[in-house]
Amino acid sequence: MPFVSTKAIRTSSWLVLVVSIWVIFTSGNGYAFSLLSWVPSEGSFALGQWQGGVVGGYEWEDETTTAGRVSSSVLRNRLDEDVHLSNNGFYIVDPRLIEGTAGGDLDFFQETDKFAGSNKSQDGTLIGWDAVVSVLGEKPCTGILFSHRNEGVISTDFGGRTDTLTQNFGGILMLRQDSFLRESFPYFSADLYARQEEADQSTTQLGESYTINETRDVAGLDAYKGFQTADLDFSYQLVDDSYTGTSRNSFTNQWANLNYSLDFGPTLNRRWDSRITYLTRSGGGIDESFLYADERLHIDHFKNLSTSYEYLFINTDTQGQQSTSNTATFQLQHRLYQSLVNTLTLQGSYETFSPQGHTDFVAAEESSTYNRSIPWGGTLILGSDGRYEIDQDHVNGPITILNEKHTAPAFFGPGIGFTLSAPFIATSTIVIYDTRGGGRLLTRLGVDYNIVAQGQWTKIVILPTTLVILPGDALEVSYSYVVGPTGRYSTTSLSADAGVTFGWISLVGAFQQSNQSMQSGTGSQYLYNTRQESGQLDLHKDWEWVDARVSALYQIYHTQSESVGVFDYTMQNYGEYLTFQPGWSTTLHVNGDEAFTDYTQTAQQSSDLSFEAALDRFFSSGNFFTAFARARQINESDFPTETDYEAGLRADFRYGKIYIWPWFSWIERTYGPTKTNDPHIMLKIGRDL
Amino acid sequence: MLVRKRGVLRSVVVALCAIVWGALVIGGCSEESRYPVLSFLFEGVPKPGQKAEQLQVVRLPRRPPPPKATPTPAPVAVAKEKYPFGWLPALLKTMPHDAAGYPDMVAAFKEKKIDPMPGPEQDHVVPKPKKVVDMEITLIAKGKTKCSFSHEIHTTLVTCKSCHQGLFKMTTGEKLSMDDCATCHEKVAFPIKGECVRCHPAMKKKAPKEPPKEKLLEGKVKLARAKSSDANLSGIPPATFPHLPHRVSFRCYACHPTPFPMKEEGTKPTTMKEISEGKSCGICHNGKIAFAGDDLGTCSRCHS
Repeated sequence: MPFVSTKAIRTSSWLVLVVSIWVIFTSGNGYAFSLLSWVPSEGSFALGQWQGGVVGGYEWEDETTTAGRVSSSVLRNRLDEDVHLSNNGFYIVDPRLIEGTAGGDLDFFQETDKFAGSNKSQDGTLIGWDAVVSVLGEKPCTGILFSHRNEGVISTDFGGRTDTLTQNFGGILMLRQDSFLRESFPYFSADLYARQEEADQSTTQLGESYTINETRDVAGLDAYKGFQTADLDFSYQLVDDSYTGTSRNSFTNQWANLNYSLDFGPTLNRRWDSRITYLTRSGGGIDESFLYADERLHIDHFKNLSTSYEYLFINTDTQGQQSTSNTATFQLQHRLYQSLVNTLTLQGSYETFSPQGHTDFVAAEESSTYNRSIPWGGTLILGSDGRYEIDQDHVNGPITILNEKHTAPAFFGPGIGFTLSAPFIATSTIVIYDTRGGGRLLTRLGVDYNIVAQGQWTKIVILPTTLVILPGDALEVSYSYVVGPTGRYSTTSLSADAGVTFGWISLVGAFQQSNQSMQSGTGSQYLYNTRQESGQLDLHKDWEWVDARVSALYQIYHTQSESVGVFDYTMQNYGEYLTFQPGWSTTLHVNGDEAFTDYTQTAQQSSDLSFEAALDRFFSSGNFFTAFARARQINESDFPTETDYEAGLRADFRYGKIYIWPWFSWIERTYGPTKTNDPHIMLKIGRDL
Repeated sequence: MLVRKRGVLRSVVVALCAIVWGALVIGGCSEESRYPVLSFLFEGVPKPGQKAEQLQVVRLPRRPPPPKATPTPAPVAVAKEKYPFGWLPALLKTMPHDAAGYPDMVAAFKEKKIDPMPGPEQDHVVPKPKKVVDMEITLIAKGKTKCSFSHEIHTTLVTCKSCHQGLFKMTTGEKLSMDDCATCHEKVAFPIKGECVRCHPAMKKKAPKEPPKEKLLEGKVKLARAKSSDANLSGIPPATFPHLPHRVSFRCYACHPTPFPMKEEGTKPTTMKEISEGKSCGICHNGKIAFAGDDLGTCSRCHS
């Protein structure tokens, strides 16, 4: 049920616009009218400091898209009015008893879009408030109650209407270390919290309605106990998420984590770390559980000799598929004088997949790091690593990997994405969820992402047109990969690197190689060899006003397997960074990054060139001005070339209580035959009360 | 195979062999010969004659030991407040009373219900009492009105100068009047009327006709205000001095005749200025011995 009617919104929006403009422009020099002077006398209830203001904004955007001879444009004009008011630090009876902050927002906008020769208009309103109250805020046992609500309505002149509602409320009970438990139960603190979040959206368009109602109940406990030589952490969270409306779904998550760390021994030279995590998720057609236990013992026998012992247990149970892995690791580390560090690692693992079978491996690894000072203030660094591993597979089907965590790239463009960790993936089994903000949104192949095979590896490329995935989102990828059914094979890995560094230059060369060979059984088609060689040069110099860095990386990558053949590429990556700071509150940044990848076997090439310059100017009065320009070009053999240019400026000028935010940007994007030109101007004028 | 597996393995084997040979050669040399080679290869090599120490790792506790529980404080002998709230009514209940209902100060003193001090404490030292004159004088030898006067009782509380020579001339055959006794025994000490038997033991004890008079019970005296005092115009009522709480605490000579001479018309006027300067009432009412007389929060305790 909307809070206010559409008619009332439209009527009141103009009224608020008029009042806002009147307040801004007729209140003299900005100092004449102040709510701060209205503070009631002390008593059982007193108000705190008032904060608030009115903001009026105007936005203009003319986006033109040309594809061949076809051209379309969207001309957008928008007015925004915002009134917000809050009181910070009000109290009841005494500030030490109940103190809080409460505020409200009233936002309106009116927008006219000219698209394909026709005018369409829409207007909207947002009414919101929030309140946070702390009870006994200065006491060791403090309670916090909070509530937030935003209700919005967007109406279009062709009968469409969207109602949105987001709200939450809850409480936190905090127990601090200096509480009454200080003597009887020292170094203890805990937070107990519970909250309910609700997000509703109802859209009516051309007689059809689409509704999303999400209610999320969250309760949890974070507790910490410190000892003289140990730490103990415990966390528990229960999330009950319910989606109703057009699409219905609900699931319940329970998550518990226990960490314990202990120093012991005659000189506290031994340390035990224990970490146990348990997660269950049920509902929405998915029932799964995850148990992770990691026990680690580290002993420093001497300052140059230490040993570590680790046992790792992971159990995953999803929809009847269960996998359990047990991994034991022993590590011996020795430092010879101050220059040479040798590490010996022995590892064994046994993993069962129900109902597929099991795999196991044993491995031995030795790595050495050598560094030594050389003339002219330099350092010589040498490193080597050798690992020998024997794997045995006894499985009768693909192995499923659940919820492998990845992060969406910061920029979506042709060929930009991330590579999954397992080889020989059955691409039809890939399922990707966007878990932004604790949610779980299913993404779609061809709509939100594409799959690119690179030899035995699989790369996920996020499509720029996705509406679900945002840059930097947390993603969970589940898939199955194929291994030899009954095979015993060895993996020999060798790596070496050598480098010299001086104060302003460093040069590093590195080599890595991994060979797999079948010893018995079948499945050689799923083995692969890789080799990677790289050289990197970094230059860095600081002057009084200038900080300059450049880097160059050259890399040769080669991999080969029976089933997919050879996959090679060479990559060159150059970076430039320059900062000029002359000392009068002005900074000039110039960045450049160029990457060229040449896939030699598949005659495929890609390049990613970007350049950015920004000038920031700060004034002692608090005013701020910045201008920026960016250019980026991405060439990928399988995709059209994308070229982006962006320039803009932004400023923040203040005069007393009045502030002005001008903002301008211009974007030109070319993607194959499609060219988009998007100038954008925004001006906001506000006044603090 | 594009991966140069065999070549790399051969390089590794050669490198390992070189390391082993090098280690054996260096290990076979003398310490002096070995040092230049080792110090060229490694940093931190001990000089010949210096033994490489195997240093132990010593970590400090992550945090100090938890604070020990504060021991329950032993009961501290708190000085008993001499005059806690409501002390006077409580004291009066325990004191013996005469037939008229007035507190019998003499009996209370003898029964050690009260122990009036000779004067205010100075640096926690109570002044020594004045000498008591142990002399019983027969004022009327015979008859129902026979009467004797105990100097012991009176000199325990008042000085000789309080009565001699002003009221009583100390001459044989001096004619005495009960009005002279009433100088005290009507205003402060037990009243003459109705209390005959306390001085004339041969007389019959009479039941009191009326309850004790409030004013006399507390021994309240309205203090005269100096005619020139500005306080006359202030609307503030004159101070009233209650004798009873002072009598059970102090002997009469603590205040009489210095600083307050006993006169028929009343003692000399006092001013707030004198009190603030530590004179008059301010000798005791200075916030240390008794509540401060010039404290704005205590005005009504005297001016009511």
